[in-house]
Amino acid sequence: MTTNEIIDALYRQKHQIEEHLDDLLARCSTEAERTVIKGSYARAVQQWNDAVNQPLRTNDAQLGTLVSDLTTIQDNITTMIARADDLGTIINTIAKGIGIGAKILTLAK
Amino acid sequence: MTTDRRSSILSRAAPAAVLVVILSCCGRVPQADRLLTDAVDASTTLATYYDTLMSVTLDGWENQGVYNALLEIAAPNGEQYEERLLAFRRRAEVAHTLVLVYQRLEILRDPKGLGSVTSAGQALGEAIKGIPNLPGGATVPSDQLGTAAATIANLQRDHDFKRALGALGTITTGLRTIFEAEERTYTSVQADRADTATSLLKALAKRKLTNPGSLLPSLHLGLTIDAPTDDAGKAAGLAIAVISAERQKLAWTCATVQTRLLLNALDTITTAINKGATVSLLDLENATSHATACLTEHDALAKAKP
Repeated sequence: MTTNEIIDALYRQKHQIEEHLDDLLARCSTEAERTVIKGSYARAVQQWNDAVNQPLRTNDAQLGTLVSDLTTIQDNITTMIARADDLGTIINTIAKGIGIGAKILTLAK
Repeated sequence: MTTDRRSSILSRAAPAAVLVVILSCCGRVPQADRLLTDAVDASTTLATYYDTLMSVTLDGWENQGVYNALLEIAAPNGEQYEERLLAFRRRAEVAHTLVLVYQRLEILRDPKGLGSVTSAGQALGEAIKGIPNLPGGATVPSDQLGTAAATIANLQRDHDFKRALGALGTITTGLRTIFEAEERTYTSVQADRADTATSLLKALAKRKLTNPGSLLPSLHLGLTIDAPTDDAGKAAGLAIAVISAERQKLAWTCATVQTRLLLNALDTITTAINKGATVSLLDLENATSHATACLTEHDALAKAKP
């Protein structure tokens, strides 16, 4: 696992959400859904900023698995958005990715 | 051997880009002047690179802030952008001061020039002091760099070219290490600026706050193109914006790679000179020229389009 892979994974997460954010918000039927999506995006921005702003340690063995899991989640989100899957499922998957991003940063700091 | 004769032999023996620096010399050697001129150009390009990175960071911060506001999301954490700006500013200051040191080394052999060299060395020491870390595992060796700067500041005798270059070699190695470790941060920060600009343009267009069709007249097709306002024209304008963002990223990646090569070449040259070895200036000159061209292209693209 390298620092570059961590930065790239968190970059992809931020921009994947950003690319679809307006459309996802338009699909929301409740304020609660909008709040969750906006919160996930804000955390994705924060996580990428954290990753590029400080030295990262890459020696924890779990980091490789977590970055791989995050990549898988991003692929799933791409598929789900393309298929216009249930919004709730997409929101939960995005939130799961944010959770993994947080674990990555905790281990890398 | 007199200085003039040594210079003459060097002029004849050295191919265009090959330099043999005789460090024990005390007189002016034309090839040494060429090295210093190249080093000034290279340091200037490095400083421009970091200056541009500061502008990119500010643009990215602005884009993010406006984008969040449009979508009614809390503003991004400004401290993170300020920290990054400070880190890039410090690096730019070191590079700018390095330019001064190399410029003043050109007059080191003039007894009256020593004062300006030592003052430049002191400025370099100040610039290096407190240079903050960025990611990539780069721990800035500020103590080591500070000692090298102090060596320049404390030059006690005239014509101490070798000692000065030795100290500059340490600083160049430090800058090279930092750059290599942080390279992905530099490209990621610029890519974020470009991609968020595209997202922002889409959000503005959706809210009818701008017409992306206005980008169509920038196409070079030999005809005047009116800015369309229909959906197809807007979609075409957004396509231009996406491609423009990719072009900016390519130009920045080129600038980043060439600036790294520039630092590698400068480091290799100063290390070789300190060992009394023969060095070539070709790699340094090529990398400086390419990095400057890529920075110019990036600047033009960034100013012209989102």
